[in-house]
Amino acid sequence: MKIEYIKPFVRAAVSVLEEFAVAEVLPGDVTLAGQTHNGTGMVVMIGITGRLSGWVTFDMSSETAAAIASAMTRAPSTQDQSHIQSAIAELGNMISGRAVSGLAKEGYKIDITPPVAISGSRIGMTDPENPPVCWVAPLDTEHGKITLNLALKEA
Amino acid sequence: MAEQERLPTKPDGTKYRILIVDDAHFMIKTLDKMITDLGADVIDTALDGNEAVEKYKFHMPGIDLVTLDITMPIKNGIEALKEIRALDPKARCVMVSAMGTDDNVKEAILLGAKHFIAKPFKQDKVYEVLKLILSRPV
Repeated sequence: MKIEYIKPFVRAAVSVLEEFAVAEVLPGDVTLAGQTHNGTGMVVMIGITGRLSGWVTFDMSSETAAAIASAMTRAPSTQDQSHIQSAIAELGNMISGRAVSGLAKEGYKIDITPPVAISGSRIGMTDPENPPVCWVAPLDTEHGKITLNLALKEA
Repeated sequence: MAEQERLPTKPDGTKYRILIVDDAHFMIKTLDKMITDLGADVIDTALDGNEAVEKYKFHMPGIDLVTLDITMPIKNGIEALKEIRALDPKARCVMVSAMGTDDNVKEAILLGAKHFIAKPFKQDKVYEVLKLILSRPV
């Protein structure tokens, strides 16, 4: 799995988050990790289909999710989990949509599935249909850390 | 900050009526507030393409414009666009999507969409596009 695939996702994450007034986003080093990962707080998962297939996830703590949802709506922080999940799922959708648009310009005809947001304290995920490793990119924001995980294979 | 301009009213003085279609409650709320603040009426909302077609049929001919997301469960926005345009060839649909690839934009325009707004967007963009589309003759 080429490291080039994750770059449009990192660029899209930084630009979309900054457009939503998450003032500064600092991407960390991209690393390769085992595909089975354990999320904490909230995980948004989006499937990728077409010439490249797999998935992307965005993991963050409950506090980070609530703070980012609040920044996105320019409203005080809320405890309404369905509102936070909807906002963070849409954030993942916008980041993935922009990244896929970037990959399309490089000749990759791909599509994304609607996002799924999951909340919990120990969220374990495994996908036997995809490579056993994924690229991991940490993004530090003023509201806390977001971890982007990407597993893709060429169809 | 400059005050946001408002959309014009229809020739009979009533507000334009808009159907918002998006699978994300967050996006429906965001667009609803923007459109209402711009001076149009959000007549209804739908969470997937099937619901969009049903609601369009229900309100016909009372909808002046539809905002359509593309990536949605059950029936996506492109399929819903086809069905709405088959029901009403004069339907004014604006795609509002994070999937702003050239292929998606071209396909939607070829199927009769009037414009494309890429997510995320600001209220100025929504105003600019809605004003442009609503000011054209049907």
